[in-house]
Amino acid sequence: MNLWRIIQIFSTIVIVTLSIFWIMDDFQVFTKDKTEKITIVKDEIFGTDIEKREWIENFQLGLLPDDPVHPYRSLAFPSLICIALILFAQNRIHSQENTRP
Amino acid sequence: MKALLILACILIISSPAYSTQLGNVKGKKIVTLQNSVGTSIAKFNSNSPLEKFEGNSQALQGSFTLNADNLEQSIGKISFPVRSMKTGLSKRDDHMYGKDWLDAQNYPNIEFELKKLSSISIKKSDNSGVEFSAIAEGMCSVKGIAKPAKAKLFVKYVLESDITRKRAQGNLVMIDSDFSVSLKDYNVLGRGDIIGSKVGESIDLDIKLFGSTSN
Repeated sequence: MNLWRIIQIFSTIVIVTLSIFWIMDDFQVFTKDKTEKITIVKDEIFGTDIEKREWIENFQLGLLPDDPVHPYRSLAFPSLICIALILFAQNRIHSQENTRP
Repeated sequence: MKALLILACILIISSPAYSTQLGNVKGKKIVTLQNSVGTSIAKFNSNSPLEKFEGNSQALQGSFTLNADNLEQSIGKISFPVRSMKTGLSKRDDHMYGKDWLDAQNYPNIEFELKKLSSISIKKSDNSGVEFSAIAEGMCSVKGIAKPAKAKLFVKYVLESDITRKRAQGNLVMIDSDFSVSLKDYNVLGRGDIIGSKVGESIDLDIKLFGSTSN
C-alpha cells in the first residue's frame, strides 16, 4: 500500500480515537487533570443530604489544552495536525497519479 | 397592686421557662466551625460563554456568636485560604492564585465578617432545636478589598443530645448560605478579556458551614 495512504488511514484513526475519548470525557472545553468525586450522604442529625466532595487525579481530554505550553494535551491540536497530514498526503497521492506514465 | 404586677413580670422574664427567638436557647452562643460536625465547604460557580466551571474550598475556619436574645446582633468571621480553592484544572488554579487574579501571596485569605442578621424568619422551633432563615449583613474581603455584602442564610441549630454528642460536644449548627461577588468590585481583573469569556463576571458562592458551641 502507498505510504501516503497509510499516513491518511493512521491520521484518521488518531482523530476518531481522540474524538471518542473526548466524548467519553463529557465534551470538556478545557483538558482537566482532576475529577471531583461527589458522594451524597444522609445526615441524620441535621435531617438533610450532605455532599462529600474530593478531588481525584484523573485526566480528562478537552477540546482545548489545559496549558498553552502543552497544546498536544487536547483534541483540537492533534486533530488539526492529522487533518493537515491527510490533506498533504492526498496532495502527494494526486501528484503521484498524475506523474505516472 | 402595680408593684405586684411588675414583680410578676420580672419573675416571668427571669424564670427558666422564658423563651427567646431561638426557643429554649438563651444568651450568646459561640459557634466554632468543626470538621467533626461536618465538612464546611465554599463552592463557587463561574458561568461564562466558553465554559461553566465549579470549584470549592474545604478549608473554612472561623466562628460566630449567635445572640439568642437578639438574633439581629449576631456577629462573626469566616475565612478560607485562597490556595485551598480548587477547580479540577491545576493550571487554572495556579492562575487563580496569581497576582492578576486573587493574589494569594499578598492576600492569602478570603473573609466574610458578619456584622448583623436581618429579615429573620423562624421556620421551626421545638425541643430538638431551631431552624431559621435570615440575611447576613457584613463585609466581604477579597484581594485586600472589603465591601459590604449580604448573604441569604438558612440555619439549623440542633440542641445537644446523646446522638449529637457522638459527633461533637455542645449544640450543633449547620448553615446554608449563598451570595454572589462581582470580580470587578474586588479589583480582580485577570489578563486580557478572560473575564466575560473564560471566567464569569460574577462568581456565585454556595457555602455550607458546620460547627458546634463547644470550644
